[in-house]
Amino acid sequence: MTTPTTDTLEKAKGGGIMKWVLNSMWAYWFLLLGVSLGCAAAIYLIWLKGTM
Amino acid sequence: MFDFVIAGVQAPIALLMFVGFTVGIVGGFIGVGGGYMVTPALIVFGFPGYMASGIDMTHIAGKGLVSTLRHRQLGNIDWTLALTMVAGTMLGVELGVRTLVYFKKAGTAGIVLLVTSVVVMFTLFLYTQIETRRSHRQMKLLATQGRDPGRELHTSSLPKFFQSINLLPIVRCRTARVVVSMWVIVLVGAVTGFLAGFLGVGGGFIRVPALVYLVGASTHIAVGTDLVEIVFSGGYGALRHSIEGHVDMMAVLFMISGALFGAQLGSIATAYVRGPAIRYVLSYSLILATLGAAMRLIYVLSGQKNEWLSLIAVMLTLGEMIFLCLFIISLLYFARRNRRGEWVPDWVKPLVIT
Repeated sequence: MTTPTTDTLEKAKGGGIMKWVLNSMWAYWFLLLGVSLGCAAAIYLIWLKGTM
Repeated sequence: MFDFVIAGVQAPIALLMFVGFTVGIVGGFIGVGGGYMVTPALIVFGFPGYMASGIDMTHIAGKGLVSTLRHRQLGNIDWTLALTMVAGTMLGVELGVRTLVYFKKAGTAGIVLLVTSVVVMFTLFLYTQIETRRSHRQMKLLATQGRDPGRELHTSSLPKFFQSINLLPIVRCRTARVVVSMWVIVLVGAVTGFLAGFLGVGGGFIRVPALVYLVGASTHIAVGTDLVEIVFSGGYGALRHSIEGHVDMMAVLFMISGALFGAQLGSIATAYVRGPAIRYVLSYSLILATLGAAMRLIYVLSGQKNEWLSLIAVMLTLGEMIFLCLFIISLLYFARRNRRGEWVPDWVKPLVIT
């Protein structure tokens, strides 16, 4: 049984937007940055909003 | 929420452990203490500024020791280079602190510090990013020709110039495979120490590129060697802050419990990648830290009226830690896939060791 990430990579071999994102360093960079800023926003809303 | 009695604040334990873990990975991978990320984060969590510096410094000393031991096992430390550089670093830090005191007396320390941070970090980012992209392209070219690019490749011509200075005594750094005048190493230590002392940081993000681009060490050696410096400076800083009562040991304990795992993972990850991969992560760290400092600078210059600028700075600080951590873990994941002969993105192949 494959993990979801492996599955995503397997699909990326075929083509489509996921392949483009993974194969372009900048697109991958922005994808990770978006995820990270989203996580940061979640941390802020859950823990820090009242304390700042 | 945990009640930190000495600091007089309440903060979530999970968040402190998370910060320790993420900064541990980044520190072990690019050879920095991470003070420029941790101190603002702790201030955001509600710790007073002086307490944030003390907790940060103490946790850096512990985490630096773990990373240093791991890098020693990986053969990434050149002790001759590290110990020669300490002398220059001490001198530079002292000069930097004195300059800072001068600006404090003039009442312009805050703005001067932020402007210097932005200029230094952005310049380092530009040079590292441009050079690393050039190395990356060259590695791709070598790979297409069927040649092994090896663990390191950098295209800067500055090391040749510095290594050609024949000022006695000449030092032979066996692990780094560098023969260079002792005065060059001391000067590099002094300049990076000056900036570190002036900016109030450990200075790893300045020393690692300096060791690579000025002395000519490989990126792996620069990371391991810089961590030795961090253990010295972090240990001394921890002692000084403890004497002054600026350390909440419970906060340090929670952060170190996360950092112990992160630091080992980050250090081990260096064994899976080539030099340019480490320099890419270093340059990303520099540009995100630059953006955070620029936001704080605009916030200060605008008379601290626009609260959203301060909020963006907080987001960038937290986002930077998570981003760098995810990037390093994904590189490690791709490197392991590449070793197994499985599909990886094209840009990853020249960056990982097969």
